[in-house]
Amino acid sequence: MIKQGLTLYSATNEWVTGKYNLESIVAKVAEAGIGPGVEVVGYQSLRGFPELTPGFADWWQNLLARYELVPTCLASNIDVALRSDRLLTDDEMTESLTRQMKVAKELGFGIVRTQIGASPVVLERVAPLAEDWGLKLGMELHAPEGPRTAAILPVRDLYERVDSPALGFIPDFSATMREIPTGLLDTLRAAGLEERFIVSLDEAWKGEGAPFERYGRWAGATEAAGAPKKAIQAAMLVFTMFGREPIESWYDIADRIVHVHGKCYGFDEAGDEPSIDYPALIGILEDIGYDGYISTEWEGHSYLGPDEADSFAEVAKQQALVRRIVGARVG
Amino acid sequence: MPSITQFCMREPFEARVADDTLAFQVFEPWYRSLPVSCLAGLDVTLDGEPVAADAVTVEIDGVERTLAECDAAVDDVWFIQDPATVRVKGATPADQVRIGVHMNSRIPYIMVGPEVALPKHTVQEELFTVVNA
Repeated sequence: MIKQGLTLYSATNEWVTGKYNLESIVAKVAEAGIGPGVEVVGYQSLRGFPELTPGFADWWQNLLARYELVPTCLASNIDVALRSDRLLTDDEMTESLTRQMKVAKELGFGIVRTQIGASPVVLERVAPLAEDWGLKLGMELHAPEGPRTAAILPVRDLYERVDSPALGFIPDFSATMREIPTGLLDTLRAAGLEERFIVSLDEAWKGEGAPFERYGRWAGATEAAGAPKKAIQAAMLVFTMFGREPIESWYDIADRIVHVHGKCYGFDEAGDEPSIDYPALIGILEDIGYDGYISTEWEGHSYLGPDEADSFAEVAKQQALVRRIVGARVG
Repeated sequence: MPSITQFCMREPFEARVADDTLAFQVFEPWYRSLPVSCLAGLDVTLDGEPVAADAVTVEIDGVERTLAECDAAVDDVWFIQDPATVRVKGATPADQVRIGVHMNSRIPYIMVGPEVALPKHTVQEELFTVVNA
């Protein structure tokens, strides 16, 4: 069964500007009715992470229980370039991820989001501990990656070889998008990109080839045609943040999906997300019998400032859309 | 207004002068807390004039360091909601000063090459009102 919730990362604008503390943002989630699942980025939401102060775990679990919310996923990061003089060793990376897994266990999260930075060696080492602790490790499949990209195929091979029930994936809908979000295009227009270049950008984004090839071709031609350099540079994130992987590729990893990031950017008047094919994605999740949470991840804050959108309202729109799709299929 | 993560200084733009030192606040231009060791660059200009690196310190969570000292602070984290205080020794502008900051943050979990982490350059200049403390 599909369950709903959000990642507090959706409210980055409100959080970074200090509008909420942990207690008040949890209260806000409950008041807005956009749980019950709550996911956090450890290094964003938790002061002192990955160390916890004495009593914090009890305080956190009581806080969520009071508002009838459920801890779903702790998003980890391995800071491999913590030092300026060298990268972390495999031992140090293993220690870093283990500490973050321990926080997840203590705070009641059943899932730890990992990223490509968690190397095969590290994942293989921590998998038995995750099993002991009852945790699932979900590698986020986020644009520009997807289930079939060159960086992810070795991870799938590793999962097959290790065959641990603790190793899984977290699809992020950014990997398989159908349009560039209109809000982002508006910021490029504001940066001086003329309409003809917006059109060619859209064509390049929808064209064939790896993301950086597509960007490189478009950027070269657009600069030669006299568009402002800054706007051309700003457009690079179109190719890194918004993926064009085939939507059916999610079927490849169907039996390893442990959690889902319901990425979204904006909604039209009918409540649809023009840049992401929600009916198709929810259809796939239902088709494979997905039983877990979709964490709503509104990421319009990557181009909208704190006064330009209400993050909680955007999250609510995504959740209403998902309910509408699920309801229509059931009905 | 673009993303909040494009800014390292925020309103109100107020600086203070005390003990022959100018002090003002900066913010982390990212969405999550970063290790103090990942503050890789902090160039300051006052009315367009570059300030010598050894005259600049940054106080994060109660600890004041030069940029060079930040490099070794691998166990300390700059919490995303906390402002840091930059101090410029020997600067005592009156009334108003244009403060420019070029902050380079090493994003330690996003690699853009085999040995290279994503550098996040944030360049901002604002007109500050100076308050004598």
